[in-house]
Amino acid sequence: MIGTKRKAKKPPEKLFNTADVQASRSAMLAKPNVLVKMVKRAKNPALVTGGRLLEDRRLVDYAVRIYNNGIAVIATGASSKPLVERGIKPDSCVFSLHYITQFLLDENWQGFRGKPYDLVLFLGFEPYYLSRMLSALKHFSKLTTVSIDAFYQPHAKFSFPNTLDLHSEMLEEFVSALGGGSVGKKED
Amino acid sequence: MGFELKEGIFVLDEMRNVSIKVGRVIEEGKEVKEWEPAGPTPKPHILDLRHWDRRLLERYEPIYAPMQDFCNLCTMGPCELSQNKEGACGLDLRTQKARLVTIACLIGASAHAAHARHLLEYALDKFGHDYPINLGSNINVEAPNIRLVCGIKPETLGNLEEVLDYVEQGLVRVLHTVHTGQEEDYLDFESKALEVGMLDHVAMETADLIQIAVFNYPKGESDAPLIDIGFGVLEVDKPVLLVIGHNILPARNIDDYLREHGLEDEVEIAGLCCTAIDTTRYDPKAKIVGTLSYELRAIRSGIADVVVTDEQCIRADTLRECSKLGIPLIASSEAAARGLPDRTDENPDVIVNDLVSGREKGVLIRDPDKVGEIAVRVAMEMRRKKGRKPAFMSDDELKAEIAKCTSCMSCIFACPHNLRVDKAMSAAKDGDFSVFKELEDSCIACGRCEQVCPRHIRIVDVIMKSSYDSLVSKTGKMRAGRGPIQDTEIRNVGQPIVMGTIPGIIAPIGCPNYPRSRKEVYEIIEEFLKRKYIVATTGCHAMDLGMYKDEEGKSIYERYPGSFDAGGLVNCGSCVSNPHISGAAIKVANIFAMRPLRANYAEIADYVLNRVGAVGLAWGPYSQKAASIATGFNRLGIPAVAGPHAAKYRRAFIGKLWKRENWWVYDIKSKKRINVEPCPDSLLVVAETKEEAIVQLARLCLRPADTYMGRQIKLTHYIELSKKYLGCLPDDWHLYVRCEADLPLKMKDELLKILEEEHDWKIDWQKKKIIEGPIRPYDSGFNPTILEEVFDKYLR
Repeated sequence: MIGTKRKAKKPPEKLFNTADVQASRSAMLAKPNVLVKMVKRAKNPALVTGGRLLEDRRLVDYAVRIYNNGIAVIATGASSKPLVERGIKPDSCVFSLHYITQFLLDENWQGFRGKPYDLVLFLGFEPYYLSRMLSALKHFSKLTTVSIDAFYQPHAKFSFPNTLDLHSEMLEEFVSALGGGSVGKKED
Repeated sequence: MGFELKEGIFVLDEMRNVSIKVGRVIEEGKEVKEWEPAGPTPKPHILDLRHWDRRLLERYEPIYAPMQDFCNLCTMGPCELSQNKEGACGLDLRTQKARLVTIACLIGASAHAAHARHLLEYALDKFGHDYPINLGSNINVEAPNIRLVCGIKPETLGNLEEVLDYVEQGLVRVLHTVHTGQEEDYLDFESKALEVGMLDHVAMETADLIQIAVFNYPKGESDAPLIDIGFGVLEVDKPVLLVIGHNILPARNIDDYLREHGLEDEVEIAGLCCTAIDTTRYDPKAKIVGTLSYELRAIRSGIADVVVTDEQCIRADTLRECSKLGIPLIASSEAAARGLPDRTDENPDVIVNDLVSGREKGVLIRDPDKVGEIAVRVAMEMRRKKGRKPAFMSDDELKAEIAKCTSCMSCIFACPHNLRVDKAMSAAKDGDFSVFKELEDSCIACGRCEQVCPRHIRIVDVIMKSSYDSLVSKTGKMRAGRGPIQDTEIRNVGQPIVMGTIPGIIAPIGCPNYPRSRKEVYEIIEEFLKRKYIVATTGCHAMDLGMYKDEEGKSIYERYPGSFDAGGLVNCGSCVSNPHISGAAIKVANIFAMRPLRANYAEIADYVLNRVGAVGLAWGPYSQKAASIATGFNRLGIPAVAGPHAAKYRRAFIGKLWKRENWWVYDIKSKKRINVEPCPDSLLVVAETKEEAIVQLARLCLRPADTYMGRQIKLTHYIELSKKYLGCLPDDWHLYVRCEADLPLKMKDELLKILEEEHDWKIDWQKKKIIEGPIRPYDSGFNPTILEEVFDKYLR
């Protein structure tokens, strides 16, 4: 029947690409409330946003709300326009995820604003592209990486499970729990 | 007795019991003329350009993104290498990835080298060693890569044997180093990958030179003919002969057979992938179905009466797919015999009969001349006997396939793009096929979804059928591959390119594994053509560019001239035509700047890196050949932006802007080592969306040697594009400002204010001059190099 809204279906627990297998640890599933605690404990967390923000305004909304909670936003060139239009002042707006990953891999890098990031959230990326970058960060850095994307990302340290059509619900839970608070305000 | 004679002419008279080893035979009076003094690296050995590579790699640090964190290449393993652990052989993860990248490049370069060897053997046999390589009066530097790397000026086909001997030896030398227990330094592996990339450009140039010389392809003419492209251009009422692959030889002989027998209007010859491009360089009446991503679609559509495969980038299920539909297949390459019986030496009548009757699903015929006759006869007999095939799927079958779907989502997790086939199926059940139509443009028709579907739904067919009308009505125009850039064109554009007043050369090259719609390449390129960049293209990108039309029904090739000039769109040809693009950069250094070319690789690459604002765009890279081609461009100092699938190549070269110590040059004029702006800031980097790619391409055209006028133009485009597509000023624009004259005119006051307020630069507002702030001041005589030997050479 045309126009009937079907209930979102829970996706299977598979890798976004069933062949993207590695010998080392896979990401721990991140529940929104636990993730909020991790973010609040972090000294300088950041959210890196990807190209799917151009197609999905809901992702832009969530990125804005996360930013409004005091978390720095590193907008890749693929995602900066809708964020800038919403008044966000990202730490950077032109570099691709590939550049940002290269920078994050360097333990001497002081971030875009003179302070290294210690926990990085990723939102809105092509799954196969994000997977490779998370693999680089897994093997060659000590950074805490968290994927809050719609597909489970095995090479992150923590990841949402596959959510697909339930992604907004999970993001809503996370962002609501994030609330106000003192995110990203702590000093060494 | 045995002794070795040095090269020369000898009189062998009254000598007994002497064994003589004969190398190359040079006829009397035909000694090789000295055409230019040889540079420092003729036929460079595996380590001869290591110092250049190290200089590049210090600045453009490799970034590794492992696909696997283990190695299972030897029996001491498998070894887990996660977190950069070492395996049983001592190799760590980073070095293992560099090794794998080297292997990938070797695979790619070997494909081109073997292709070139096959063409050369054929051409020598048919045309002889002395057949001249003559590209016409407008092209004197006929083989810039070969001259640069080998120090050889090829005048005849026979001269190319020495070139390929060198390439093949070089590839084996590098292959040797990837064996267990060799290199332990990842930068040394990267140097070897760069070596292989360079050899690849020599191999490709050799292959294309042969084709152009003996098959009379266009020789750099900007008005090469327009070719029909797309499913919709085929006259399917005629027998259709589908040629797939990269090696022109069988397709060319099919074309010859048709013409010799007056059948060119009776049989339709259509191609897929680079064979299609090269067939149309030989015969502009031949037609192109499309790129690699159309292979499965073209076969399953049932349009072909016979399929002929040659080599490279052909699906490995081609025989199975053809057999399902009763389409005979003729394999013609040693590289892809497809399990078929070798019938090369048999009577064509018997072979034709066996194929048409279905006694054989396919045959292997290694003689391309014989393929011509057999393929045409089979196509005609098949059509006579079996008529035109019915549509590949009826409406009822479509409904039945869709009804099987349970939305289990298995297809999503198999699809390289994670396309939401389940949603399209769901909408189609409600009679809405629009979601499938949207999907078709992103689907690369790989068929992985069908492999995992528990209900065995023919998903690719469903996508095709749902968008059948738009698929079969697709028509476009592509300008035939023109081959090299003319020396005269280089003389015209050399200075504006080096000054920067032509803002850059954008080179869309490579395969169709695009992240989203294939139209994106067209959209990216039109942006740069409108801005008067030079665009030079090859391969699948060249084809896809021609698939879209404007409101007046004109393709991009009809709207922009085919000249190598500002706002020109040059289609060089197939994959093996890529060295015409690297060759153009080399020619700028040689013809415009008079830098010696022969065997002078490092100096020319250094020139290109610092002065020639050329950038590759590989928006859909998939093959090992693409990896090797890009790596070859990189060694020559030409950066490339790649689509997101390129992250799976595991390695890229990305500079770190904040490391001021990495961004320096020797200035020959001031005789000093000085810090410079970080341009280009990477050699190989991925972009996720077309918007991001456009802005990166503009940035990567910046070069240290830009004049203020050139820098102003380049910065104007960079900033404008960033504002247009990213909605903001780019973070790094100020790094590229050396003086107020570098600033875009229309934004000068605004930008000066930002420099003062946000970056603490000192500005004289009365004169509107920058007093303090830039990394370095602008100097019109600035003469950069990052090589000590070049610095020493030109110091007066």
